[in-house]
Amino acid sequence: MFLGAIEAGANFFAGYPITPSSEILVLAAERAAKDPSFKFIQSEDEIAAANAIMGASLAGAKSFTATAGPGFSLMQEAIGYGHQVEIPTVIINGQRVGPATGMPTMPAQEDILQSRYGSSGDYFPIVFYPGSVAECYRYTIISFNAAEESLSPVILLSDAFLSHLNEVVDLESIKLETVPRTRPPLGTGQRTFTGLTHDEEGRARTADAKVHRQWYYKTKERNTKVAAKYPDFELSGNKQSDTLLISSGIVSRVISPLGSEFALFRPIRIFPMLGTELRQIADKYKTIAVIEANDGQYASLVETELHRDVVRVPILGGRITLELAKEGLKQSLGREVS
Amino acid sequence: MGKIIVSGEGGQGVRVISHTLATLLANLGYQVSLLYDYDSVVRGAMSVAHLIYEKGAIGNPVIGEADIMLKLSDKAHGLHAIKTVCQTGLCTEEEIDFDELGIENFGKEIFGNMIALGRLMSLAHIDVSEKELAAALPLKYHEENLSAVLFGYHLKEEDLHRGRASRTAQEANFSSDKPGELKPDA
Amino acid sequence: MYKDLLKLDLFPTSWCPGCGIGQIMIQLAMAMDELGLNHTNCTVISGVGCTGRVSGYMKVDGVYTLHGRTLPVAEAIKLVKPDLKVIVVSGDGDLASIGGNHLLHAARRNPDITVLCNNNNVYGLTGGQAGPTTPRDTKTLTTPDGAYYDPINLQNVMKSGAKYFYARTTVQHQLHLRNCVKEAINWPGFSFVDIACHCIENNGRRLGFNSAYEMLQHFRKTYTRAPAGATELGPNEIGIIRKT
Repeated sequence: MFLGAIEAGANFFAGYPITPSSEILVLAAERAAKDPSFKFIQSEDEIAAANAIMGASLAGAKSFTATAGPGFSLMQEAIGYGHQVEIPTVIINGQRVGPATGMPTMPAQEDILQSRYGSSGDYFPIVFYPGSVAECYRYTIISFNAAEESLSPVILLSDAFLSHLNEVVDLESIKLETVPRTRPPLGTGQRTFTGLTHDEEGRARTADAKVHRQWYYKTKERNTKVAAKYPDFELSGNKQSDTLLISSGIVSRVISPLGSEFALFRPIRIFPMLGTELRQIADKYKTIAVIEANDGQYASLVETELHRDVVRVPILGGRITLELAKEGLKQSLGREVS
Repeated sequence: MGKIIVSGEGGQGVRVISHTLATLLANLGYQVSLLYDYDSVVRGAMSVAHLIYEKGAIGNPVIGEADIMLKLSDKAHGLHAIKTVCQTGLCTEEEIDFDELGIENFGKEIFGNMIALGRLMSLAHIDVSEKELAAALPLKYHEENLSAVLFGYHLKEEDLHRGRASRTAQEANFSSDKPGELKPDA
Repeated sequence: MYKDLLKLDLFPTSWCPGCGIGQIMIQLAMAMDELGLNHTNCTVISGVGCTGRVSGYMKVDGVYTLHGRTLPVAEAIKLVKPDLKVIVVSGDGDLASIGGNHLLHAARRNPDITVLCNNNNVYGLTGGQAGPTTPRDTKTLTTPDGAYYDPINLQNVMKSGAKYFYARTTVQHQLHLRNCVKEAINWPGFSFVDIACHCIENNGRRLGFNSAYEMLQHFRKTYTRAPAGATELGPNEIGIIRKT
């Protein structure tokens, strides 16, 4: 992920040590020590880190941070600020078993809803969740691009297993264009960037409902358009199966052998929901089951998109194995799984 | 093509062993996935590495049943393997006192982990030249580690028992009726 | 001149008649004008609260941050654009309560930014609750029987850093205030200007003052200049202490 960020033109990192993302903090520090154009702060806490990347972005830098569940919670206010002020930046969240300190080294997918609704207020974030080391590189670059295009903080999810995974990757073969910064940095104009509801000139309009609505629908539309450029997912169909299994991240890797018996769908863009794609694909299947390392967070959203019941297979506690997935499927589907 | 699990506790070198092996295999042209699964404690708690190497793409990086498992401590549970080689006292299959061999031959217990790596490579039939091995090892203690891996690789039947025997002899030294009293060498 | 740095078309400001923040802003504009600062080489970062509105009235790129987060934002901006003068204008609650952790670390890391602290002893915008600098026994909305705790000692917090610049002044001592601001901006490191200011509507009246003018006179009577060369400011002394 760090290499992807550099490739995308990142030149500012602020962060705080937290498992499983501390390695990114250290890589950033080492980079800054060698390259004076790359700026680094080890912040006093995640709140400072999240606010620092907002300031850095306004000053013209491509900024990012990396954290995990509890740190992600601390950053929520700043994420909302990034949406309100329209600031491009990237926040990496390595999910782990929670709540609170939980199991720092154990993988989970318990922040799916937090990545969508974690901050106060209405906003429309773009969230990606890669499923391999190669995709971590690729989707970091894409996240930076989506951030510049949407002028919003893009969330890049991972999990403790994906963050601890080493794979052979040919970085040279992954070539993507990078989107440049468009907005002039601080120190060039007489603009106001404020967290208060504001008009196009940045003037606070804290008693004007129309201004808020205009801003909200404008940003929702813009983020929807940008997200539509990346309707990324992986589908491995199966004509013999009447059941579609939906999973993401490390869970999808672990259950990949089930592709011989089931159809598999893996969303890579988590938000906005891949509603159109899901509806098209799910039509062919009698049963939809969502296997995830949480208590049905993505499943509940799939149900809303499809307007039909979805079988939930939660894998909790950080033990993510094919055996546990099969057991859970067996229980939920009520039949044997090979 | 294979699935290897290295299971130990924090500080025993699970990462160094598995990362060296993974690098080696990647250099040989395999697709490799190496997954670390460990507890939130710096020393003394579970640390496991799942290493899979294939010619083609790897799907599930979490091993259900390994071809070989190297077990350096007893902190992890629920791991399965067709063959297990372990530190003395941890299984009934193939026990080698890596710690003892490390001290005997290289002066420090910790070199036992490189000896274990050599044994693992031998059991998995991973044949490489010394040059390929040297390229995969970490830079610190490079020479000693290289010797230790080769030592482990070439361990013969009689060596496997020697470790246990010398340890039993040591135990005999301490079995006196007066606690704290050392009996002279038998 | 200094008026060129103000968005006069947005006046009258949102502050109460008699509020001291206006004076802080005017003196800041005058200081910037005298130092040749404008939108091409300066940015103003303000926090949340009445004081936070300052950057919106000035003709520079400005940022209203989240409550308490001016310092991480300012430090990051300075790191990315070291040639920009970064001036933080915020209140005592924003800087020393919710922002307290950041204040501690900014004092430690010593970034080259300037902080103007509107120290009016209360959370004014929200009605007048006690804050970190409220003197003991003061009646506020949340301390109807008088504030229970001693206030935080901002001078000591600044002095905990290896290097520091701490200035104390009041909105009544206009020229002194302007000089403190100028020196603070020129200081190569973290500079903190602690400005005793009055909040007539949500603090002063509760304390028995009838007008802003009375509060200003109160500053004139109770504050004295620290002796030249002082290395520590006594209570109610205005002056500057520095350490390189």
